[in-house]
Amino acid sequence: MRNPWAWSLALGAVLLPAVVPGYGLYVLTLGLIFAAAAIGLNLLTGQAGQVSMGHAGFMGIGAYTSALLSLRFAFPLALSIPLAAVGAAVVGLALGVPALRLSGPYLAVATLGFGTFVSQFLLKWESLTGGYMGLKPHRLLWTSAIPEDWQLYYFTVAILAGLSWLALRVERSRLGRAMVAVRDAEWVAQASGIDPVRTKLAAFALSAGYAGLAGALQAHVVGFISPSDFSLQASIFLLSAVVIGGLASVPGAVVGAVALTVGFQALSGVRDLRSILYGGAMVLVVMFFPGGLWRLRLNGLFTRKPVAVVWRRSRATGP
Amino acid sequence: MPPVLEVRDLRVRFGGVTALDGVNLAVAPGEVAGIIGPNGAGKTTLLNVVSRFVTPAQGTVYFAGQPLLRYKSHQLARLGIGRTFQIPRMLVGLSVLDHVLVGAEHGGLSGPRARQTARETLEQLNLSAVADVSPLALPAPLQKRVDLARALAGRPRLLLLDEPAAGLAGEERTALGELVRSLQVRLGCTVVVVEHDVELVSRVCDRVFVLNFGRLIAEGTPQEVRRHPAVLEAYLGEAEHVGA
Repeated sequence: MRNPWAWSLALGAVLLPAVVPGYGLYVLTLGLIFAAAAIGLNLLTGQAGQVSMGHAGFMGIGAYTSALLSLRFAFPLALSIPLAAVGAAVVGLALGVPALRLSGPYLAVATLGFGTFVSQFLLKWESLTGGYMGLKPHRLLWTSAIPEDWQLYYFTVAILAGLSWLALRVERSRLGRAMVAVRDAEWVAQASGIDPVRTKLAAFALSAGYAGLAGALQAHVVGFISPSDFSLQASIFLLSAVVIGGLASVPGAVVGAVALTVGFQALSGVRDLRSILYGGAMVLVVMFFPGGLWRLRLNGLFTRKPVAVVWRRSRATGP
Repeated sequence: MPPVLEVRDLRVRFGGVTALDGVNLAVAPGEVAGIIGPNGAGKTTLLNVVSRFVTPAQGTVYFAGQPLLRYKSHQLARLGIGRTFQIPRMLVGLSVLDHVLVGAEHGGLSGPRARQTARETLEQLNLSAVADVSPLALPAPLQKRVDLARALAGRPRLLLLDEPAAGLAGEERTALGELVRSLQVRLGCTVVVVEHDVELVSRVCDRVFVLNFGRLIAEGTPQEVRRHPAVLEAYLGEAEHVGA
């Protein structure tokens, strides 16, 4: 990790509980959970170029899978949370198959439909999911009956660090380069020996696994889940975090998700204005900083090199 | 030894338009073959059939004696077929080295060997100095060379070049011709060049195929083809270029 910004972020994350009060730390923890899902979405949308407007659906699958496994079948959380990630990844793989035939706005609409289906499914199957009353999953516990905010925070930081490390490894791997090739020029990818079907399916599964894990964490950190937590609004929130933070950037996804979560809470006093301010901020970022907040600092402080690496959809229409 | 590339009775239709009409051709191992023809002659369509981006209505394609149409386009790199594109598409966010690495690691090499081959290929094409640069920062001629390096890094036995000289200036065209020839000698691969520039094809190719309106109208050495009456007729208006 040679990047001074990344070091600063890591050090700040460790020291934060010393200066941020309890509730603030809890909000930050939620932001880090969203960051885990945003990193996954970033692999799919930023790295592999496949738009998903229904990613909160995978979070919902993860949250309810882990909650139900632990509540109904007495699975320990150490087992139910990873199983939730696997379950979401399998659903992601299944969704990836029909999605292979779609791209751009058609894929966006299809994934939006998936997200809506999941939240409606969770709402309607009351006997299993509790309907709009939701579920009260076990909370993550260590020594005390009620988990301390700093414990939840450090636990989430540790998980997020692991997920970030894995995503960075994927980005710089054979698979990561294949994703970029499929995103930017599918014909070039094929001519180079890359199977676009396998690459997109891998991206869908991996991305859904991240979201499933994030959903499971949310369930056991908050201690309550309901279908409205995984609605279309949550999916748009995730996509906004990825775009505002910086597409195809792991730290960008983290910064975007944390900034949006904290901002959302900070603006809770002006509830009516919140959406307007949010929408306005998003328009400004997309218009003036298309590389996102993370790349904005790259251009400014620590390097004089222009960052040409701005994500763009330059999909080849033919050779 | 069978031809590296053999096309038999190839017919391609796009709706009501016949893009290729009963084309037959064979390229021997180690040859540099050129495919020329006026705009719309079917040159790139032929290349797209061979690289499996277009499925023909009729006909067969053989690569080193084995039927090629049973494979998908992404399987060809591992078989030993590489290709470049008329307008090279650069992969955003990857350095020049990573770009070439994509060709090496998906063409059948793995791990450090793929990286080593990518570096060697950059060296061969005089691109080592820009290995860590984003290819988007490079001028168009160098982007074409990066695209060529990507195709070469898979160590192909058959290299398909789609209008490699398009957009290049005079000196760059001369350099490209020398580069293609030297690559053929050094790597021993068979090369098929689709090109508008008849001068370049004449200089570089051992054998030339001329297409017009989807039909093969002439084949032979560059000298034979340039004197062929059907070629002169097809290039009417460009006759002085062909006959120069």
